[in-house]
Amino acid sequence: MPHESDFQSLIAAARLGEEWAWTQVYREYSPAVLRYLKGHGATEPEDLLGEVFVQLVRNIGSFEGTESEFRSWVFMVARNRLVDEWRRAGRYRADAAEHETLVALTGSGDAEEDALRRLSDQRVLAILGKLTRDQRDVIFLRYFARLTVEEAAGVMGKRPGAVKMLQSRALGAIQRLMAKEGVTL
Amino acid sequence: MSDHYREDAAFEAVSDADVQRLFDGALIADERLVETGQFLADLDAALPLEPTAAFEGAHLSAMMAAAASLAVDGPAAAEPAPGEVRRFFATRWARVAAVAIASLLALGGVAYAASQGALTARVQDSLATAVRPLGINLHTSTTSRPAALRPMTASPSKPSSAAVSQPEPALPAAKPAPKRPRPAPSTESKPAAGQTSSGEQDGAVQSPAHTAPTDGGDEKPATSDGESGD
Repeated sequence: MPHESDFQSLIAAARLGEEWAWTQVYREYSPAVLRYLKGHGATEPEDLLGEVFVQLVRNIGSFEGTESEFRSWVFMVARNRLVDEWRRAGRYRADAAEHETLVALTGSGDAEEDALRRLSDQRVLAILGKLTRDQRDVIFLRYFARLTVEEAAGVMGKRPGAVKMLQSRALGAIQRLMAKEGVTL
Repeated sequence: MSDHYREDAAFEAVSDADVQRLFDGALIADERLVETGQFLADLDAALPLEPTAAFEGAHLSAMMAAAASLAVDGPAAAEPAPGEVRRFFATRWARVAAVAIASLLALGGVAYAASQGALTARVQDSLATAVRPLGINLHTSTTSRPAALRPMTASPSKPSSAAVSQPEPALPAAKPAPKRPRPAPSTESKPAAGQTSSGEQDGAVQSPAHTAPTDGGDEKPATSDGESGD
């Protein structure tokens, strides 16, 4: 994470369209954004990732703020792209489809490694898939994106109190589902 | 289901600081959080941070093309941020505010039209009935109305030209509003003496006394709580 003064120089260069600045921005934020998109079960997370960063380039002129505000903005754009994809696919409320995509993530990669990790990963992703979309979003934004409650609330378009409530419910649900033996997939 | 709800809600008792420590991956004494912390650690393994170098070239090319397009065409050519606007209007309070503002504007427009006598008598009557539960009394067209239609929010200091009307005692200083020509005078009865000249037929929400408004001064002024004193 760049130091604040370095960050401001970076953003100033990005506004001017400097390739080195955008390369740095991309390398800094794209892995976390990709994980966020995959965690939400995006069907083409890599394509969506590209769309997110093109949108950032287009709108960088209107951005002013600190590094943490930039990070919130990056995830806000990512979330908007996800919502667009859900709408395009006509499954805005189809959490079940996301659940399937999530579970399918565990089947890829090296077979031996899969065998070792499969049980744990499937269990974790199955639990994740049983959360509501908003609960999952809070967990991802708070844990993966390292956003504060207020920042996550800004990204989700909710009040901080509502996000805190969602967070509590999500953690409670995780605990309940963990305690339950044999989470079925 | 309600059991789930209770169990999930149990986490609300955990302090913000402990939850923050949980998300920071710090050690926590609370046993409930240790289990959840383990879940988050497993989540890290299940959804690891992956390198994006494989797509970096393609994505950066698209980004630089967008930047070049901005440099040539200027920011106006760039796509605005529809997502942000949509997100704003997706929030419940923004939708409620937008509907409330639109309703107020519409009501204001209708009230203004009514005050100008631009509405037909039937429409005016319907409107008066519709907005009465809101405490707003519009002028009505008939000359005989029940006592229930007496003003509820009237204030003695309010000007008589407002759409929200009040009883107008025929004060000597009361200045008549300019008369608006009616398009079809033959279908309407001529205003009786004592009626206001604002173009409405009876000038204000009526009390039974107005069924024969010969003096216009027999209404009690509205009290401050909106009662007409009857």
